[in-house]
Amino acid sequence: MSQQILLKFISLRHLLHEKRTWLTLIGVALGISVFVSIRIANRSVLQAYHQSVDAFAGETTLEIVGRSGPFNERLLIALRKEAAIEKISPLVQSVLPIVEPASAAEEMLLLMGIDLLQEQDFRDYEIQGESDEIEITSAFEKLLDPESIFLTEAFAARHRLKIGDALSVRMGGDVLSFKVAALLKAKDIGQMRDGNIAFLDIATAQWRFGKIGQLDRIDLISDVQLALDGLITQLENRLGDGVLVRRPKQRNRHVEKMLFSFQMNLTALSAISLFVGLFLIYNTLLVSVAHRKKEIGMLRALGVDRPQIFRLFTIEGIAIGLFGGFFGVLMGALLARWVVQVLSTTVTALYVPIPPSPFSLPLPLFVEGIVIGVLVAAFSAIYPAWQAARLKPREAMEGIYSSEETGFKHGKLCVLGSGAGLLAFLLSQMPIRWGMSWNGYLAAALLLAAFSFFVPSTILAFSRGIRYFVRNRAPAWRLAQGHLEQAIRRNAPTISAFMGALAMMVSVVIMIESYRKTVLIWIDQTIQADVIGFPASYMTSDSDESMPDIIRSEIAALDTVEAVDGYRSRIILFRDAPVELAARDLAVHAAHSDYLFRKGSRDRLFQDAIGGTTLFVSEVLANRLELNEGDSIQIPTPQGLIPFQIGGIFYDYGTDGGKMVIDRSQIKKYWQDQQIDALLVYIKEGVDVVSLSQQLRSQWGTRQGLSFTTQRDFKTEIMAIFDQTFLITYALEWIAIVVALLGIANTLFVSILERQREIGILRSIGASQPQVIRIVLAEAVYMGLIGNLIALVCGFFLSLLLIFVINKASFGWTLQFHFPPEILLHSFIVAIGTALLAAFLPARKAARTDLKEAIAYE
Amino acid sequence: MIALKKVSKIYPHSTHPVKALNEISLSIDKGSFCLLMGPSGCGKSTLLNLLGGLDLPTSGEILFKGQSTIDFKDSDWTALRRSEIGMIFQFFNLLPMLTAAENVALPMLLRGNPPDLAKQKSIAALDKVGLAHRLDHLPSALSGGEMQRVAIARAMAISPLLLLADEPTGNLDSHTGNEILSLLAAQTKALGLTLLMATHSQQARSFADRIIFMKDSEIERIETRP
Repeated sequence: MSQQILLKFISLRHLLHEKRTWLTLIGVALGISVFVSIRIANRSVLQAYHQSVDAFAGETTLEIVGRSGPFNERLLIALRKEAAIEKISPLVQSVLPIVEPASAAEEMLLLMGIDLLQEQDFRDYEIQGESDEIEITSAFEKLLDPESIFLTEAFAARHRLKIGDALSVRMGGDVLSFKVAALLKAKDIGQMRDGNIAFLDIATAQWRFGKIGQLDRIDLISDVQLALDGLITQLENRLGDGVLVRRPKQRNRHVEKMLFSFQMNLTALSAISLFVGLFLIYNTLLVSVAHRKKEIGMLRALGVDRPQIFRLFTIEGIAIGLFGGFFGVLMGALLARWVVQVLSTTVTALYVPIPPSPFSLPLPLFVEGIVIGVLVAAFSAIYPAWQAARLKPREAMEGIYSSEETGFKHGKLCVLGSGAGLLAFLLSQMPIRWGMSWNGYLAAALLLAAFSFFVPSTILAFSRGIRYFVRNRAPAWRLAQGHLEQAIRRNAPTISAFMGALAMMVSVVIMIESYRKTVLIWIDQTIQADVIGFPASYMTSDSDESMPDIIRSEIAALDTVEAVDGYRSRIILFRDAPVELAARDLAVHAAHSDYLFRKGSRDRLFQDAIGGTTLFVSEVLANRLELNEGDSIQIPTPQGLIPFQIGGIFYDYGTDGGKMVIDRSQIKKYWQDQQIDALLVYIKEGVDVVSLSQQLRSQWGTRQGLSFTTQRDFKTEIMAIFDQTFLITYALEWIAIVVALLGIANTLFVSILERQREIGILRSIGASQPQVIRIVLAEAVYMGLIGNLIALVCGFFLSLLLIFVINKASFGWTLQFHFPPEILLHSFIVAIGTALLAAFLPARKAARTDLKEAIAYE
Repeated sequence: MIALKKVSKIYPHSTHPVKALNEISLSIDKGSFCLLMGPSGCGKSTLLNLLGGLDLPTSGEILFKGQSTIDFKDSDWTALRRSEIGMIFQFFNLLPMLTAAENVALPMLLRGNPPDLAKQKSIAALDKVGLAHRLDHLPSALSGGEMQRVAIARAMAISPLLLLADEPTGNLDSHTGNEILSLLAAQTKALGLTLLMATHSQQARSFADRIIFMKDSEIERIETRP
């Protein structure tokens, strides 16, 4: 009998007419949709990020940046002597909050001071209404007016600005006013930062941003004939230690690495839905084999051979995967619209400002989704198809109606589970390297597999364990217990899938709660100031806004104030990578707040650092750069490399890339920097914190554009940002649970189909419809309980992997493990709730069983 | 005890509706041992299903203890099956995951009897059918005859007024079948039950007070035995 005939007459009819196939299809589609949506969102965000980086770089082949921040413009003289350099474009930039127009108030604007004569060779500027080069050059001349700026069309349209209108930004309490001289088209550079970018003449920028004689960056176009590596070395030798020469792409290498880890974690999380979908197909086919034994026997009797039976079931599985993949991709594309938005916001908040990412579903991702569906399905189908193929015709024709549990190899599965668990443990013990944690992900997958292998034995143990307790309960409990034990083969894959989804949820919740708890402890220890003051834009973006130190002195002089700690943060290039260098009044900080040091006496550590060249390094940075207490390191300053000694290494969860802390006297000394970014105000005993913050707000708030917040509100705001970043994580978890829910519903539907006669008997001996419903619900409760029980144990171990292996490698943080006891209740509610929800329709169907058909003999 | 007035059952079909029972009128007295006999497909099982409330008549009326069941809801029939109507089937129809004692106790538990009482009664019922030594055995460990004894014990344990048996010996050898018939006769007589049994068994005739012969969905004749 040819395979085509079998597929047409057998498979197609089963696939089209069996409801559980549709349920499986929905589950698989949902699983794939989650995976695809994350892939689309990751791709869109990366694409937007790269486009923005490329637009910013333009034709630039090399760029020069100061290792300690802005650098002296005299460097240009040396560069102009360099024959290999064809074009030079110096830049000065600042990100500042907008004051006017009011509709854009507190939005951040990147203001770029450009060299009008050079800039056109580097980046494409398309100006509204000007088409040829001469017109563009004449438009550029308008920027010679120190009040003129170019805005983007997008920004102007959003805030109804036209040429000649005013725009002002705030800087250190002063308001800088400009007039719109031209509008850049929404293309290339005009699209960056969602259009929140403006251009002005470099001289104006130096003057107005207080950077006279200083540059933030120099872009270069070099002779294409020359190898860049050689030129970089040549330039670095000529220009000295104070600057770094690099390719534009190297600028964001660190950010890209963090972004990669972040996206990888999301992808891994979304793969859980695929894992659940895999079990769904596996279970559907396994049940199908059990259900169609007679049919298989008949086919074999009619001359169908084993390979044909194997292919029949494999192709049925693949068909589910193919259509599931197709619909999954379409659903994923819909879901991605939301995920892209949330991801863009999260990435902007955590790593780097990126423009709103354009949504697209490219053909390769479309194909990828379907291929994944097919591969997952093919993999899931192997065992059930093999089971079908190995059936002996005579036995099969006997048509054993319900799932047989004879000869179930519990011992073998337990050995496999132990092996997988041991392997996972060994992988987790491998040394942690910063970056992608392959061993961690592999260990997590093995751990899930290990616990899945233990599911059948747990069902058996659970069933035997509760038998005594349900003996004297309502009959539904006893009957459901019997069913559970009777159909381990059918129930195990469903419970495994459910357990997998639930275990991931448990582990992620433990991880987030550990993270949360750690951050809370860290905030409590390090932010003990009663009132915190900062420029209004401080919390929102990569603002360059700061305030003069005089404000600190004025506030410190108030009767109600005990002390004020001035906090200043700068980005320096340490070992060629950006690192946050924080400077603060360590004496004040030591007296009122703290750092959580990895080791050493805090008093001694502070004592060494106050006023001296001892610094503190965050644990993340120390791990990444292999720094230790007592090491001597060279810090780039405007006065050259200055040796500092690492006094202590402290836990920090505020920055991704790591942080160094020095006493503010050092930043004043080496950077001549008197500005501060934030004020940490400690009040005298008995002073009302709310009244004081109101006083500060009325006195310095409006005038200087400062915000003052109480410690409690500040912490609340930090935690709100923290919670926002885990929004996608929770959403992914819930979708995996929904897929698992479909699995339970599927299994219960099958269970009811198989037990029609039994339901008929029950009804004929007096079971009411509600009682039949209760039996099915009780069975679902047992499945939920077992799934929950294993998920809690598996989730616990998974959380250890997430916290101490995967997270540590991806982000470098050491989190304090915290097991939130409420997770026990939450997971119980989720497990039982999901199971009951999944059982609702099957239970209703069971109660409505046609009794005469159910008890009919044939 | 039970009466049928012009009861018909038609299974609908778009082109060929199937008439399973055609205007059956019948009355069965309390304590009688009645047989329903006739060829396969004549409507015996349909009649039993209607009497047990497992299916509803298309027309006509069934009276139970003089009360019309025409307005009965599913829950009313369930209540009857819990306390007044016992059912026995050809394939024993025991629940495979319950022991013999649990199978017998189940209807009592379903109607809310305390577990201890249900257990006590199930042991007594199994003792009556000669299976006191098989209380904790699963159906898979019992022979066909033993399984049917358990099914009888289960039906009797609720002390029903009416016992409906559909081919209870159909799946047993003649010796065991005879034992089961003797058991049923003895039990019904001892408890004063009404038994309506659909069967092909000729052996059963010797136990019956009344034999209702059916043919083509109708009652062909009724034999009353002294």
